[in-house]
Amino acid sequence: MRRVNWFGILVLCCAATAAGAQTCPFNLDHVAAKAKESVDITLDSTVLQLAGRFLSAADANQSDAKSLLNGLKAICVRNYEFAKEGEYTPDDLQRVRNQLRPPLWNRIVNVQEKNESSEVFTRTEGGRITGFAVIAAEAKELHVVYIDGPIDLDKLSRFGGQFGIPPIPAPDAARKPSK
Amino acid sequence: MNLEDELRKALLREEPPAGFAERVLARAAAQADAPAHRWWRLPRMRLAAVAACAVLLALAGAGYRQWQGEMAKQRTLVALGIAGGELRATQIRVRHILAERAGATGETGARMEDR
Amino acid sequence: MAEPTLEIAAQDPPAETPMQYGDLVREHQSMVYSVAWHCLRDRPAAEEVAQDVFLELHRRMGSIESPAHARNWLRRMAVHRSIDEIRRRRFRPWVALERAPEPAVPAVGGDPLLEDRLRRLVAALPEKSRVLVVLRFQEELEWSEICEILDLPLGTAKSRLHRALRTLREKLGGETKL
Repeated sequence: MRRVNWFGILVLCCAATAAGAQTCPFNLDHVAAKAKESVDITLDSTVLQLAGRFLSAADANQSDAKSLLNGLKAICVRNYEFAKEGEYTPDDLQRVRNQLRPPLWNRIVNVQEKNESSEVFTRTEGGRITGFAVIAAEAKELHVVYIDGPIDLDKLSRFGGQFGIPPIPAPDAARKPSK
Repeated sequence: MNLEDELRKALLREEPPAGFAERVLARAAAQADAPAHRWWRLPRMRLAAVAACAVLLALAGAGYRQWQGEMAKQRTLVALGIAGGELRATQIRVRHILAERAGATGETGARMEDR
Repeated sequence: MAEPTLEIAAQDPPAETPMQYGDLVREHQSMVYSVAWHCLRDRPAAEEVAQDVFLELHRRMGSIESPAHARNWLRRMAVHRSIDEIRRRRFRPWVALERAPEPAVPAVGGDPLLEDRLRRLVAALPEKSRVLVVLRFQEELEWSEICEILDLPLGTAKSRLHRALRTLREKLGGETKL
């Protein structure tokens, strides 16, 4: 029996603001169909600008997120977990890499281990990083991240870990003081 | 008696408990060596995501525009968190490989992250 | 077992870190801990906040530009984390300091008693006034620095401190004068 896809539920809840097909330069729908768990997030510039207006400058992490969003045109996240090996092929990875080719894009890190690989790509224009992508592949997992726009990689790496998930406010904290 | 002078005396800096610096350095070292796990896959994070969704749906009562904005914010924070996590996971893997090759165990937090 | 392959494209070498993390911890531990302690009046909580601040510094060492930057960053982070902890405690069953019984010995005469009483009274102030008093009288910061850390206009910061000092004087029972 297929396990409940909790993040899929989250994605469906957000369907009203789903972005257009052009935002993400690659299509992994055929891989997603075989995943037992998936995270699929596509954010275009409209959604990112809206998010920026709702991020609070008073909160350190949201303030960092707000500054990261400056000028971003798109963020695409595709995370898949499979029940068994072999659900995605080297061709699937190559299809993603084909969108990240020189002269615009460069692969700056390529780690190949026994059953895992990690590749980091950046696009540089005028001496600035204007695009970032990661392809991280394991036997039963595939993770692809694509960001279009000027990005501060130092700041982005600080969103690694639990800081990325916003805390769920306690019921009392959600009530504003009546002044 | 001058209140401001008394406050300066009362609020003099105090030393932290003995061994504080050592405890911090030990935690920093553990932090640097932590395996790069993908936190967003942990069951509690899925529950947090569903709870976040419930909070957002509750906010729908506050107006559709507000709801849209909060949704966009939550999705963006999750996406940035995952993107940063992947970048950081790769940085840590690179550092481990380089450290193994150099035959070093890695100094306690004194070195910058590899870019 | 095959060795992992690793290619890293040639990049500019990372700038040399002018500071050692351990030195920063030792140099500033007193400042960070004291901000938390005077705000929270709870030693285990103050140590936890102080440790969290230094661990965050560890994560961000790559972006610290100078010793002065480190000191200002640590101070700002200690203040904000202390404020966060004060707010979190509102939602826990915890006897608010202002409701705690005053010490049995009246604070007349002996300086240590007055100082202790002042510390308790400061810790009973609203959180923003509390940190303002700590920054002004523990850290002895200039107004521009205080306003920058707390993100407050100068007028607001000064009037808030003025009100805090008035509150402290009232609670001390008119024993002190400016």
